[in-house]
Amino acid sequence: MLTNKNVWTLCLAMSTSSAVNTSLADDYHYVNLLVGDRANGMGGAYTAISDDPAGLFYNPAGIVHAQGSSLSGSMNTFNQTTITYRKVLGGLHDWTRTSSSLLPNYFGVIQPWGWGMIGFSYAVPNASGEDQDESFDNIATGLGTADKFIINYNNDDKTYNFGPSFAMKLSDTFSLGATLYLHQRQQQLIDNTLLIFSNDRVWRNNYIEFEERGIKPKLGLMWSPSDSVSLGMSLSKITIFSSEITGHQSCLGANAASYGVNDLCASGDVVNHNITTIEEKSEYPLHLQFGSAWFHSNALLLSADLSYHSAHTSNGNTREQVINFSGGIEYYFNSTWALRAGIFSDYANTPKISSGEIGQEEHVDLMGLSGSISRFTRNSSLTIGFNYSSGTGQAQIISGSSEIQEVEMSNLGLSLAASYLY
Amino acid sequence: MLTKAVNYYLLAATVLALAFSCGCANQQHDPDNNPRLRLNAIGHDEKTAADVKKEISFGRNVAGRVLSRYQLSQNSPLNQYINLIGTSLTANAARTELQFYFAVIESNQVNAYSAPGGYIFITTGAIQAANNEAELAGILAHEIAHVTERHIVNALNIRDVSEDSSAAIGKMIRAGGESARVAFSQVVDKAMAILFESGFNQRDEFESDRVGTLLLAMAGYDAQALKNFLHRTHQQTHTKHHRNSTHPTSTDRLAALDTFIAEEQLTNLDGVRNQQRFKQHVNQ
Repeated sequence: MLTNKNVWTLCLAMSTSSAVNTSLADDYHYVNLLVGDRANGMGGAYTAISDDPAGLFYNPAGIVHAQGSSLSGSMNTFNQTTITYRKVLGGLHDWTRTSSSLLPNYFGVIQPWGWGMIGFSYAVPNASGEDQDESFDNIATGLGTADKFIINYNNDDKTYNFGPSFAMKLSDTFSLGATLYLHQRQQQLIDNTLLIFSNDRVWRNNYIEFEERGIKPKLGLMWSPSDSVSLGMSLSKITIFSSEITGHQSCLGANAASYGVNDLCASGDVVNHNITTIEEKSEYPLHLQFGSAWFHSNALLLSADLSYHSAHTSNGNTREQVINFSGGIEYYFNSTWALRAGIFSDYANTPKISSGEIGQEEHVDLMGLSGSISRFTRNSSLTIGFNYSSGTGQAQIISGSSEIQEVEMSNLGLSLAASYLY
Repeated sequence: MLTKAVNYYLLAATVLALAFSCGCANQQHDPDNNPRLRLNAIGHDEKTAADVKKEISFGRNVAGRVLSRYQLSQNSPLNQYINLIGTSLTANAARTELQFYFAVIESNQVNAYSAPGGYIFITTGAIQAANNEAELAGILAHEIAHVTERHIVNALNIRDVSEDSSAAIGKMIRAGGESARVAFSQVVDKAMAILFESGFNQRDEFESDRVGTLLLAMAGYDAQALKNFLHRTHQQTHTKHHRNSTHPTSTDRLAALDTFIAEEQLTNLDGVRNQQRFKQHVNQ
């Protein structure tokens, strides 16, 4: 996992010039993109439902309850995240980074096979395309006051899961399912900064490429103790088998005497370039989901989930245990229209920011709402949905500084989904 | 940001919701009641003309597969005779929108098959096993009932794929259009599996027995002919004839027919058996 600390480690390895921390929000939360048309509208409280292609992702045991012989579902999502860091650069300026992406983030198909159901799904549970393009005047630096500070920052980070599933009934009330996802994460980060002094300049460029591959087996269990109640549980953990982070840093430094002799930026009029590679494999938490659903009638469904991610350490970064919750409701006005609503939490997995320390990762707890509306025809449904989460917290966006910034974060997702019955 | 206290409150509410669901778990499980069947699936159950067209098209594919397994009998008089009986039965069948076709296939097995849309096949073995025309009509009536009650159609959810705007958008969103063609072929495979391997479920068999018996009675045949045929072939299962798994013989099935005939007061009907005409067409 290419985290804040990884990136900064690379930067430090190549230069001691002042730099900004690269904030990779995806690493700090576990609910980045909600998958599935119904699940998205219900805040992701889907572990005990999972009776359509989205079940391959949430709880594969649920697909034995799917209606029809073959079913496919897909989802396209536009997602935008905005993070504002208050009083950065000596407490004088706010920084705002936005991330937006429009991508097909889910496709799944299920059909009966032998004793049970088989399925195949593709999911993008994490995606961000973070951008920052800002300039600031009269910024105090270690090299003196810069007339202008320009930052161009772009972080494209996506996680892909794809793989087969199988589920079968163990009895009238129990079902068991498994999904074997191949996990692939790809990230490209460009961090370009320019400090202009009255008679000098420092231009620095970091380009970091990260790719990891692994497997994400997910085991699901569903129990329907009565006609109207369903309980679900799923267990998963990502195991990485290959990982590589390659960092390129270029610097056209100033002539200031404060640089060390071996500093990449102490280059005068020469552009220095350095490449560093890290192959350390990330650790991921154990993920347990528990859900319950109450099928009140053919028109009303209520559900609630608890999602537990274990505490762990990955590449030297401390990740605390997180328990998120979600709740959802689905109501059919008639056989053609259905409305859903949900709430969910998305707590940070980082420790709380403490004063007097440096290099701490941002900590922002998020709370969210979601909703969707579906129109059904005989063989298909179209769903338009949204999810919105927001929260505030703290960060240390400037590396090497003990300064703490207040952070405001919001995330808006708009989705268009379709399911199709053969 | 909501305060931590509020967050804990919401967390507690979620736990309570979980506990509430567990508390509801004491109800009796009823396998016939599917709570997951959503309103959208129930509300769109009406059949349209396009559904019937799709059913006929599907049935034609299944019939083609059946004929690839068995040789069609070249005995034209026998085929005409079977069609005569079948047509007299379908005159009273519920689905007047269908054109039924009847054909004899060469096989010593005692069996008959029905494909959606009205394609009925009977083996030479089954014809030989009948004692009279009424029993032969009973076999055909049972198969006709599988079609009129849409047993395969419902089991495999055969229906028209409406090309309305949302379906078209749905197709664009999902990956690939070829998958529908592949799926169609797979569903035909499943229909073949029902006909030749797994068989219809017991509920469908019972229903076909009941509807078939009514068709027999309405056509003027001996209303007990199907039951008599089943009773005799059931007894002969381990002696003369081999019956495959698509028509599970059971005392339950015969008992259900007995009850049905009694309830419908069909016992004393003076239906014909046409023994003489049967012997003219069938060499036993």
